[in-house]
Amino acid sequence: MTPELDLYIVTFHSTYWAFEAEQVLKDSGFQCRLRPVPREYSSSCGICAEVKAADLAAILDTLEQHGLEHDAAYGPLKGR
Amino acid sequence: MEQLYLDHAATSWPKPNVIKEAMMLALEQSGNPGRSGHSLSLNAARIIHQARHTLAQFFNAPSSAQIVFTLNATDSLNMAIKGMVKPGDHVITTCLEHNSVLRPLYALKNAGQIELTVLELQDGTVQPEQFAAAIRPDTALVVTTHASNVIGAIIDIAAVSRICQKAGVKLLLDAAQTAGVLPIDVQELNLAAMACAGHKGLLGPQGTGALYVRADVELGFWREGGTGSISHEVYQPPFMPDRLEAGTPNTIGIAGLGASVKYLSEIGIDAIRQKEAALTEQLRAGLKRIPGLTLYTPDISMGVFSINLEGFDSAGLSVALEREHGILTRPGLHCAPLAHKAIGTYPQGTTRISIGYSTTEAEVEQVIKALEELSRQVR
Repeated sequence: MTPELDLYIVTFHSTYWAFEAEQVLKDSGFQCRLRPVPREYSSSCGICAEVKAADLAAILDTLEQHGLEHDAAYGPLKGR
Repeated sequence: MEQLYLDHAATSWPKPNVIKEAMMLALEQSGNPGRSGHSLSLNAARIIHQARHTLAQFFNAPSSAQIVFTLNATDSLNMAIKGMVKPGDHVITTCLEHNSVLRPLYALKNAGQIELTVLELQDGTVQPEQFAAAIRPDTALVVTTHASNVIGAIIDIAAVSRICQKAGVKLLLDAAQTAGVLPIDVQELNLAAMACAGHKGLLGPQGTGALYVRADVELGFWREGGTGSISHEVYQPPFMPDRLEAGTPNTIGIAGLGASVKYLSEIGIDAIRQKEAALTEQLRAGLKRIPGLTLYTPDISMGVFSINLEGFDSAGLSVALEREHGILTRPGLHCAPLAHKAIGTYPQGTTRISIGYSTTEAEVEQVIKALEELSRQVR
């Protein structure tokens, strides 16, 4: 089993919101890495946030609290 | 001979060291921002994102998504004017405008798209009451400079804003000469849009500018192209800032602009304005003492002085100031033909002396002495 299976991705409507989210999530102490969106998921923006599956609910809450729009959450990631 | 730069209204010089460091770092560490998703691409996007935040904060924009980066104030003004007016609109502007406002508006007028009212000079500037009197039921937009690039005259933008708000007319501010020198709060002024250069009072590099657009103002598309968002669509994204930022941006320049605006934020706009105002009054007093010198700048102004000196053509005076005193100024019409007609210096122009954040009291004394000497030579 690869560690990727514990990861989810959060997509955004545009690059702007991906970078807004990155800042807020890092400031809130979450692990968050921006990366290109896996091709199996549809997104209006080519960049998404890769986050820990265990953090997902808290992350979506945090984004909402900060008024940050996200598109969707997908996962767990299967393989690379 | 040491050079003394007094052409800050054209572009600020020298630039603060912080922008050189930021630009070098961006040059070394930038991929294409927001496109590829690798570390260099993300670095570049973060630089731009951070700069957008810094500018939004500096002008008190409610969201940094409402700030777009442009080539210069001209670019911003063209985007705002052409993106806002609709056929049949009546537009009000002033005789103090730069050609970056006049040319787009006259082109639209000439094409039969808009009706245009140009407000005349009254007591050294354009008065808020003139705007109020010119507003008609079909007036859609007021485009005004915050301060003249020729004579430094300041327009009372807070009063103009109240008039526009009462009449339900959109207000576009050309802050090319004032951004980074006078406080500008885009929310307090309820601006529909604000255009500024990055390379003048904001101390950034040339080839940078910014445009603020209020969230409820949907500017027409300016150019379509790649944005890194909704790549599956053949239509330009409708959302900001992507809507107005197609194509690979000037990441290196924007890095510099972000750094210079951060630098100005740390100094504080009130401290900058105070310093500029003191030097402006020092220069004004000195210029008024010089025999044979005509001063076109009104008593309330930015540090932008248009003069002519008896016995000199405006270009000849600039040449003499540089060759004999090492002082760099700008002669001629300053891209604002109606302003020159209003002050009676068309077509001969004026010599423009403009101060900036790096100007010192000693430098102001130096230019006054130089003009005194040139004045003595021809008398």
